[in-house]
Amino acid sequence: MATTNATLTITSADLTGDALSLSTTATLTTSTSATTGLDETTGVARKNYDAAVTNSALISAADYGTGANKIYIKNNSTTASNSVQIELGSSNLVLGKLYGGDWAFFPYEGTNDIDITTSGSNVVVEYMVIYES
Amino acid sequence: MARVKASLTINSTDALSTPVSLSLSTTMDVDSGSVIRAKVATTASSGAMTVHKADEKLVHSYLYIRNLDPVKENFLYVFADTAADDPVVMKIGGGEFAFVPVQEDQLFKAYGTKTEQLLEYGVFGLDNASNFLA
Repeated sequence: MATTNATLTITSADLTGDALSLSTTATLTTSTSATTGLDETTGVARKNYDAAVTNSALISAADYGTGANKIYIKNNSTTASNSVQIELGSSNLVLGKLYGGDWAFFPYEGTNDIDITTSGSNVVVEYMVIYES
Repeated sequence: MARVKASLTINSTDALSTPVSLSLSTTMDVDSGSVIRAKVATTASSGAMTVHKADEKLVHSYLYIRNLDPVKENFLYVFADTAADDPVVMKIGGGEFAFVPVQEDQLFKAYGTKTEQLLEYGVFGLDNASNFLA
């Protein structure tokens, strides 16, 4: 059993008169236990898209069981306007759009493929799936 | 305009033979945003709580959401209300969280495994001047 911790911190000194300083940590555990850690991972991987792609599979649900899986995805482009659109399932429902340097971390039940659509060429996507067997 | 910084670290010493130590951050230009703690009223899509209003923000809209329930199996279901079948896009276990730059024109709502389940959420971004909070 592996132990993986994810910590999210959100801060702002000038959003309001009350400084924002939020920090939350989750130990990534299975869907049936608050103490058994997720024991499988893809590791941190990168894919280079030399040309623009549309609805291209990044993560296939068939590779993962349903459970408390987690996904990290980052658009490694340094050009802010180079976007990577995250899409769910066969209908390609758009969850979000990562502009250059943006990242996302979210739970993944493993029932829908995750596709991406890039806005242009030479986009590098970094991702990791942490999942239960 | 204000600035909000979001940082994520993922660490594990034993998930792989080599340590996993991922650390990244993004700084957002925002007009508005807040962190809200609330209870969902329902266990189904009907009457669910809005956590991301469509077109409230411009191009960049960042959603933070956390399930505050201490029980892992008390899930928080986030779904897209703009689609006909209300597809669930995130199923968040008790104590877990998500941070996603969401599509600005999507309406996302949440319901829980049980009623009166606590959650915390925030939306940050540049305001869409033509669509204020009603």
